[in-house]
Amino acid sequence: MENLNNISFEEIVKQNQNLVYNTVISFLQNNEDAEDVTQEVFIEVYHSIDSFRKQANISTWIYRIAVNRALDFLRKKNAKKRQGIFSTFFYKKTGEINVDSAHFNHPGIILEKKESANVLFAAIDCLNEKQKTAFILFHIEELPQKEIALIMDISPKAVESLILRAKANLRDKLKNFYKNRGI
Amino acid sequence: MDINNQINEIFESTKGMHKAEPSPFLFDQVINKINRGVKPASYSYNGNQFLRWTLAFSISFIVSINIIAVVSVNYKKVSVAKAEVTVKNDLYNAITYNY
Repeated sequence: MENLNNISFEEIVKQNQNLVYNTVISFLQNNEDAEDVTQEVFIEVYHSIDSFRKQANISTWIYRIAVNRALDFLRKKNAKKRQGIFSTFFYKKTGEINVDSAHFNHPGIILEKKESANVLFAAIDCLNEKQKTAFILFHIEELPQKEIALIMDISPKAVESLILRAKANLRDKLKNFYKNRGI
Repeated sequence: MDINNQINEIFESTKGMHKAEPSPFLFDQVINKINRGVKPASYSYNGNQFLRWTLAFSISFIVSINIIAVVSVNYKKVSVAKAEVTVKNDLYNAITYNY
C-alpha cells in the first residue's frame, strides 16, 4: 500500500512507466503505438487519481488502465481495418498465425531468441482479449495469478483457466503454423 | 527438430528478456499534453458486436413477424374452408333428411 499524498505525479510516472510501456508493447507490438498509449495511460491516471481506491496497490490500478487502454487501441485499430457495414458484419478472423505480422521486434528480447519470440507474439495476437491479457500478464510480465485476478477483476481460478486455455490455443496454432510450413 | 520441442522453445523465448524502456522524455510529453488540455479519450464500445446483435435481432424479428402472418392467414383460410364444408354438409344433410 502506498500513501498517494506523499507521491507526486512525476514520481508515479517515473515509478510505473516501465511496467506500463512493457505491458502495452506486448499488446500492441509496435513501439510508436506503445509510446502513444503509455502517454494516454498517464493522462488518464492524472485525471482520475481521485477515483483511485487507496486500499488497492497503485501499480495494480495502473496495470488495469494500461490493459484497458491497450485493448481499446487494438479494437479501434481493427475496426479501422474493416471499413463498411457489410465487411464488418461478415468479417471473420481466421485465427491463423500471420507470418507477415511477425515483424515485431520486442526491444527487450535477446538476439538469439528474436525469431522465436516474433512467432510467439504473432501467435499471441490471434488469441481473444481475455486469454491474451491473462497470458501476457502471466507469461511475459510474470505477475502472480492473484494480481492478474485483481487487474482483470475476475477470480484467481478464472485466471488459471484462462492461462491454461491460452496455452492450449497457442500450442494448436503453433502446431498448425509449423505443419503448414512443412516442418 | 521435433515440433513439440520447437513449440517449447517458442514459449521459452521470452524468458530472461530485458524490460523495454520508454522514451526518457515520457514525463515531459505527458505533462505537455496535460497542459495543452488533452483529456483521456473515452473508451469505445465494441461497435462490431453491437452492430451484429442489432442486425441479427432485426432479421429474426422480421422473420418471426412474417412467419406469424403467414401462419395466421393460413389458419384463417383453413377455418373458413372448414366452416364452408360444415355449412355445406349441414345443408346437404338437411336436404337429405327433408327428402
